[in-house]
Amino acid sequence: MLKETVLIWKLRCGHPETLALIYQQYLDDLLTLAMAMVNDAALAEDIVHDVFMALAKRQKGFQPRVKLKAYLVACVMNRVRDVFRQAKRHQHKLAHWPCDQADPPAADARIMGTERAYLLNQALAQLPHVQRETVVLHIKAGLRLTEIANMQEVSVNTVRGRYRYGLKKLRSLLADQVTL
Amino acid sequence: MKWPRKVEKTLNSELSFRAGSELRKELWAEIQTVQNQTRQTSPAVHWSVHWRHIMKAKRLQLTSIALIVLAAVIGVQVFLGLGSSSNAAWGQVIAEVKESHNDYLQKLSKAVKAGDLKKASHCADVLDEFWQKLGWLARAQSGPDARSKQQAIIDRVVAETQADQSEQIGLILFTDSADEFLRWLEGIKDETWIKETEYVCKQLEEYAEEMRDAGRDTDLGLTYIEHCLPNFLAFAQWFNELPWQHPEQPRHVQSLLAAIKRDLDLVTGELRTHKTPGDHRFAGRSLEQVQENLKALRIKLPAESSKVTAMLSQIEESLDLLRQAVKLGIEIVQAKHVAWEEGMNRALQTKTDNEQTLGSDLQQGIRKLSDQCEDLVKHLGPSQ
Repeated sequence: MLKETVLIWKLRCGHPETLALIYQQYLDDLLTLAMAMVNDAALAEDIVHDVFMALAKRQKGFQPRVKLKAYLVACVMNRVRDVFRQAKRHQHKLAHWPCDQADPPAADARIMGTERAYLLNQALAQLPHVQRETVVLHIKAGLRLTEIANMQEVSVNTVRGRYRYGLKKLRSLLADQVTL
Repeated sequence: MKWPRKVEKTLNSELSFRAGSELRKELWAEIQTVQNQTRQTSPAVHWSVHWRHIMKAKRLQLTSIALIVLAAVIGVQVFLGLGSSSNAAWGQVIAEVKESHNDYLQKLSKAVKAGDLKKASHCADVLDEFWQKLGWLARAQSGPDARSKQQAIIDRVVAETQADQSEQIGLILFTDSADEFLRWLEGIKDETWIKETEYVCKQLEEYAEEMRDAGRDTDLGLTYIEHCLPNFLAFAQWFNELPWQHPEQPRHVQSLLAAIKRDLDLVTGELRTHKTPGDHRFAGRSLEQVQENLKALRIKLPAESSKVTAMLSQIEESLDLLRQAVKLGIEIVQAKHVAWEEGMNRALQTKTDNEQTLGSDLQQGIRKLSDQCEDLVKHLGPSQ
């Protein structure tokens, strides 16, 4: 807790190495989160890029009300929502997105993951957005269901339901491909 | 294992992506560019507003007695289990401490009122840690190469993350305020403001430390905390009166004289009790500050006025005598403590025989010095 407070303080003081530290620490987690949400490597890269750019721009007055990781996760989720909103406005561009990707990329890819990771991501992409968000936030970002309820502005029971349905669907989707 | 757990476990362990080296480098290069651009345009200093929020609370306008009574009237709230090491209580403490420095001041007052030495000591420890670090920053600012010294302090704070609970709370309080405090320090043009800040922080740190130790040392106890608390509050008020809005403004003669009067009053108050080495330490430090402020006065006052120069010389002479007397006082009290510990009272009989005389000499010296300062104020008139 103190380490994080000091980290944020140093960031506000403009210590160049602090942002690098945060970048090193959270880049992969945020990429995983973004990938799980949009299942598109280029888009995930853009989202994480935007989040870090915003952090670099506003580091002087930076004072998050929640833990740093929770703050960055919320930023990613907001950005994902923006992307979805924009995509809805341009439906024609959505013909193949976000669910049809997920081919494991070549070894020199910009975002790397195991074959199983891509399989899991493919399955996640087939969940409705709210279920996917709930599952990802709870399992990958470590948020509690009450925190997710606050974020999504719904009751905890609704979140619980979404989570349960999400897991159930994942189980059936993954039954043939991954040993659970 | 039930299936939902299996799905959770699989996702948790196997759904993971990482940035390739090319992406990592490109992204970082872009971030650095933005960071460098941002660093060139620093935002306005909000320290004054922030500090006003912390220190301008009505509680601090009151005397400590009123504060303690007020705390009793409000009623002792459920204490947050500061001694507990459970995570929930600790999290709650962290959330609480972020609210403000004053919360801990109020908790300290309540603990004193309730006669709870342990809690009082804990709260004082938090305040001690906070003021110590703030004082370090101020002290570093007055020397050459301030920025690198302050960087070393910051690094030291980071290294102190293994401190105990109360120290950690103090460090969090400090980190919440430090960056704005630093920017404010950098805005100061008149060196005497930095010296004043440094001194006020030091006094606050020392009073907090004395209160903390009183909670740990059964010899001193609550009455000693009651003695220290008003002075702590008085210095908190002085801290509040630093030029937060306009750090660039020069320090006026009136401000220096008011500070001299404050320190002489403090010396009088401390020497009245004349009991612990702490009292004499405070008195000694205050007299050092009087000397600093007199030096500044000499620079600021018109050198061509022979009367003013003569008056300043008289004041400095009195101060010198007083400092010697206080030094002797410190030696006597320290010797008494050693004697008490080692059972050598008899060996010190001669020295302690002189103690009564010394006490009255000191009081007289302070009165004389105060009168001389008053004369100087009268002579300078309202124009200064």
